[in-house]
Amino acid sequence: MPYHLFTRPMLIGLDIQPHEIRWLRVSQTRNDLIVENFEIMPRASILEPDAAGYWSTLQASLTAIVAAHAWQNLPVALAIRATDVINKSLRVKSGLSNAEINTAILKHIQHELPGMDVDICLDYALMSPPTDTEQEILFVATRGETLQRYLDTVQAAGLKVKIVDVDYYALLRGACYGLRSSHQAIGLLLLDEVRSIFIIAQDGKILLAQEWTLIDADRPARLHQCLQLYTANEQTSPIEKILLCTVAMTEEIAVIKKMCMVEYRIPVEIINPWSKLSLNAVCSPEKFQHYAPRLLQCLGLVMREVPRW
Amino acid sequence: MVEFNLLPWREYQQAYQIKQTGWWLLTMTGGCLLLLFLAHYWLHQQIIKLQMDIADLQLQFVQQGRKQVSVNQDQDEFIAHLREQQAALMNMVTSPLQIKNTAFCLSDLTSANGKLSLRGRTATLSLITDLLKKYSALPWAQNVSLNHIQHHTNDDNYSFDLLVNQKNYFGRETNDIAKNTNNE
Repeated sequence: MPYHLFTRPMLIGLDIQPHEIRWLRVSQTRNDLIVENFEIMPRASILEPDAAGYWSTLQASLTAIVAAHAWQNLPVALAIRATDVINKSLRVKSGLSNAEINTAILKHIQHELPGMDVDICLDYALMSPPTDTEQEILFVATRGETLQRYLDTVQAAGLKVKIVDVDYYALLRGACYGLRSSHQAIGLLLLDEVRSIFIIAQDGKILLAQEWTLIDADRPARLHQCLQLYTANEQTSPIEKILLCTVAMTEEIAVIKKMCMVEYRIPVEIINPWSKLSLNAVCSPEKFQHYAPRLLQCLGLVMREVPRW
Repeated sequence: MVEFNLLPWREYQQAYQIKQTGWWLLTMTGGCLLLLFLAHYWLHQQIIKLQMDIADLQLQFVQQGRKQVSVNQDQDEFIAHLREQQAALMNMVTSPLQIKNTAFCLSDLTSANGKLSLRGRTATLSLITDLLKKYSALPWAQNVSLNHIQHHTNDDNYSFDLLVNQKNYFGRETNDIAKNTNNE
């Protein structure tokens, strides 16, 4: 890995989708991020991870990208799909060590999914200040086999994987870049050319996440279902606002805004996290504007600090 | 914002911190050893310098000592010579006085260039003869001659002038030795 004496090394944000590979590189000045380079490469064939040839074609595509940009051994952050991850809250005793928390999480998974006898990779975050007796943790866990496939493929292409995040958390982080943090529940509606994602989160914890593709044409109706599902639970906090990130203002957007305001009394705020970033001279602003909504997950990944290990 | 990393990053971080701590300890130990080596080297150089200074001082001291010894030896020789001269002079002065059964009065006694000149008066000629014999018998007297004798009728005595050549003349004058000592 190159040795950075005066500059802070930055991660490459890599977003592997079934139909395309997206990546983003940024550099950091004292206060701002500058987009150095980005690309969205369509994949030769749209395959799901379970399909034969998925990993070999992915490795070939990544190897070509690494060779083209001389990225050998550069640190990279990637995210695995939330559908491959268990994401739950858990209350454990206060003052437990890391190993004891891991054991408690594994016991909880065994309890939820009895008979599950596979290698589990997990991580957790302490959610609230611990009381005398209990501590709330939020954990994510996935099969070791799933994670290892990503690692093997990306590392075989010549990159050094430093972070494996969960895609919705990376999306949320990217969308909230530059926004004032709030303890209220907020909704994030991401509408791009390929898919639509709706996430409700509070204090960084994802309470609800739904994803649908363009085939599900009636996006306002799907959003309406999600909001009904969320508000039906009396224990949930009211949504302070919905952050809408989209590439173009269409009539559909106006419908969604009107529905949220009239039926749920939730204000909708159009956000553009990219407006807080500068663009390198070599990047085409038109191209970037076109691709930006699809690079939100990559932004959430490159915002992560590079681990020292 | 919550951040997850499904890699075993806590274990990686712990291993990294252990490695870093090890490197720090190694670096600090190396630094301390280097400082100790530099301090040792500097002190060693200082000791060598001081030892050389001491050796120079000792050499100077020895040389000065040698000079002092030489001066002292010259001074001792000079003092011994003075004592010999003094003893010789005393001997010359007291020798006539040691002559028994003589009655004479010395009016002048001069020693110069290895010659002792005596002038005086005596009552009889036999006493002058005795004085001549006595001086001739002295070990340091080489030649005794009576240069002058006169009879004084008014007080009936004889004045005489006697010259004694000394045998063991020291060869050099006292002033010459003193000059040589000051030059050194």
